[in-house]
Amino acid sequence: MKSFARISAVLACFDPDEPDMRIEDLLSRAGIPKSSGYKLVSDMTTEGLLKREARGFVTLGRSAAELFYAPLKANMPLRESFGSPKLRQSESTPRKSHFESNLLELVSTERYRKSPPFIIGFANAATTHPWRLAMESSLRAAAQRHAEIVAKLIVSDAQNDPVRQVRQLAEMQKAGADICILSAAVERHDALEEKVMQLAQQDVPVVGVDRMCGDGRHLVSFVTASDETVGRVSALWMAEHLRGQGRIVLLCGMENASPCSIRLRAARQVFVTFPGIEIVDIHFTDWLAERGYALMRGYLSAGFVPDGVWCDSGLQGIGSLNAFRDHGFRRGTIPPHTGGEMNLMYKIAATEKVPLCGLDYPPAMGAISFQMALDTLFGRQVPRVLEANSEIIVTRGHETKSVRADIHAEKKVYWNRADDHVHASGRLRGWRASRAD
Amino acid sequence: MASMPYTDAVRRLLDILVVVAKKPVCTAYDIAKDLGLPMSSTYQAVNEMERLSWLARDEEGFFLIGAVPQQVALTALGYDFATQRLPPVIRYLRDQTGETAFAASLRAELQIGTFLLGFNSGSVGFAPFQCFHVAERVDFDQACGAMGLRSFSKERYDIAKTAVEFLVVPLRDSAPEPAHGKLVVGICWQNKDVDRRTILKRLVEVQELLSGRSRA
Repeated sequence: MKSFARISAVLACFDPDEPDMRIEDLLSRAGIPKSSGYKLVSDMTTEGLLKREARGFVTLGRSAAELFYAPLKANMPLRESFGSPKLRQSESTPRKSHFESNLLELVSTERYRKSPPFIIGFANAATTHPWRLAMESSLRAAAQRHAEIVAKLIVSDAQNDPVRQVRQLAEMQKAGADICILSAAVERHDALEEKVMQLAQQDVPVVGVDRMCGDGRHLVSFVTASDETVGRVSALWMAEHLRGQGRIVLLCGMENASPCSIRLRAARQVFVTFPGIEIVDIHFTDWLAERGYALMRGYLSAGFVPDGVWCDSGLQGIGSLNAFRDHGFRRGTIPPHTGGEMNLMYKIAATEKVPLCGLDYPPAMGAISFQMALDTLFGRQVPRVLEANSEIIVTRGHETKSVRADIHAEKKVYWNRADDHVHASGRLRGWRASRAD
Repeated sequence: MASMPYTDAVRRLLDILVVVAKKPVCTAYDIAKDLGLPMSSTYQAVNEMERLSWLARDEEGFFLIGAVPQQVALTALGYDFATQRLPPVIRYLRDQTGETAFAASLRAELQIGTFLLGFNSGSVGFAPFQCFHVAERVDFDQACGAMGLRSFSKERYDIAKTAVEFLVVPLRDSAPEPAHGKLVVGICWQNKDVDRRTILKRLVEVQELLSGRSRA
């Protein structure tokens, strides 16, 4: 056992019901031989992680208690809101419609506990667009970081075909996968749901990521970001930006994919409360920029200019914005758009002065699902559903009564990065902390 | 790491955690630079800490303090509560109110734990490992045990120049003995008025969601 693992094992032995322990019992419970264990306890005591109580007894120390401090987001050192109330209006409306109580549910994974090295399978729904590639590379990067304990990473691409994905999961199992991470090809498919159930019954746990198939009850855990918030907040912003009046076009992702249907449902629930907002049409683009482009080009060529374009992602949003640009719309005349993640979306919004609201649906959930897989194989308790954070990005001057930005698009954009760079992918190589100062 | 003497390992573990806590955006490079460590052993150390859930990463890839040290801290403070249940409710409280939301240990002082900065004006920022001296404590709602607190930070590098206001509710059943402090969740603000009743509703909502759900 390595040093950090031993320190961790010692600290994990304590319990509020058993706040102090005899050193011998502590070492025995942590699985550390006495020969080296006393030295470890002594060093942990010197650093304040442990405290000596009565003779031969130790308890958790002051340094251990201080570790409670934990920001949930690596915030910039000086947010513009500090001490500058004039920069922001005071109140906003709630971002969520309700709290999903399954976020509080924890799952014991003791039955899946194994010793490394592990074989891990990742069944990707598709690799058709930059977001899916970014999610996959975030997962691959996580596997690379833990190469010491990962014997093999098997990655497959179902090309949005559930039958193919069922076959790929079976192949992973045959190849000895200890756990499978699944981004489901479709939202509903009997054979795929059955395969997940079979794997779970045969003690091959499945961690879901991004796209769910069925109700997810056979998954150990599901890593996602709130699609409901993406749909609701972006629709609210669009409706308020248009002051409740206008004809809009909805460019959605992929029919029969859970993120798309949840976002669309949430958006429509908002739009219905603004009687002056008319939804001209709803299109499915499979999250492809070229489809977004073709659809908007069609509208513009027919002489129809929508008052706003609601996109559930920037993937097709960049296609729509490019269609306006190619049609000759000048700076400041392109109607408001929604859709985040894509660097080009923010670049165009900033250069062409397009009012924009985007929510970054983080591809970093690939790495998060990988960590969840490791936690499962180490037998740690995991949450049933884990929601990654989605930042709200709005162009400067376009925050509305209800929608405040976490960061402005002009600040979010990376000018020196590729157009197809996907934000929140968890891989900021070479990013310096000094940039935030 | 296997051959690292325990003295070095314990110190390095704590040093890395302190750097991660203090730096708002922290990478392995920053850790190596701050601690004067070679890059290769820093990568090895942070990867192992991530594997053990001592470190986590946010959506941009920056390091955060992981679930294991937080759980150790809750135990050290005497609370029987699963730390993984705190982030979703803190995030929810922040998203619903726009103010800084937090979990904390309330004794004579308020020791800040899991938190998320607000996006409204007057959002309160916390210094690393910050404790607030509670200058005034008022029962706000006896039914749920809500308290209004007023504080000035003891920390020299405090961002807040004026009093910080807190509205907190205790998480029931989190402490096995009443002699311990209270594990609370709350909202804080400064330099403005907020609708305390609306905030209280949100706090009671999460208090009920979390009630009785002690460590599994």
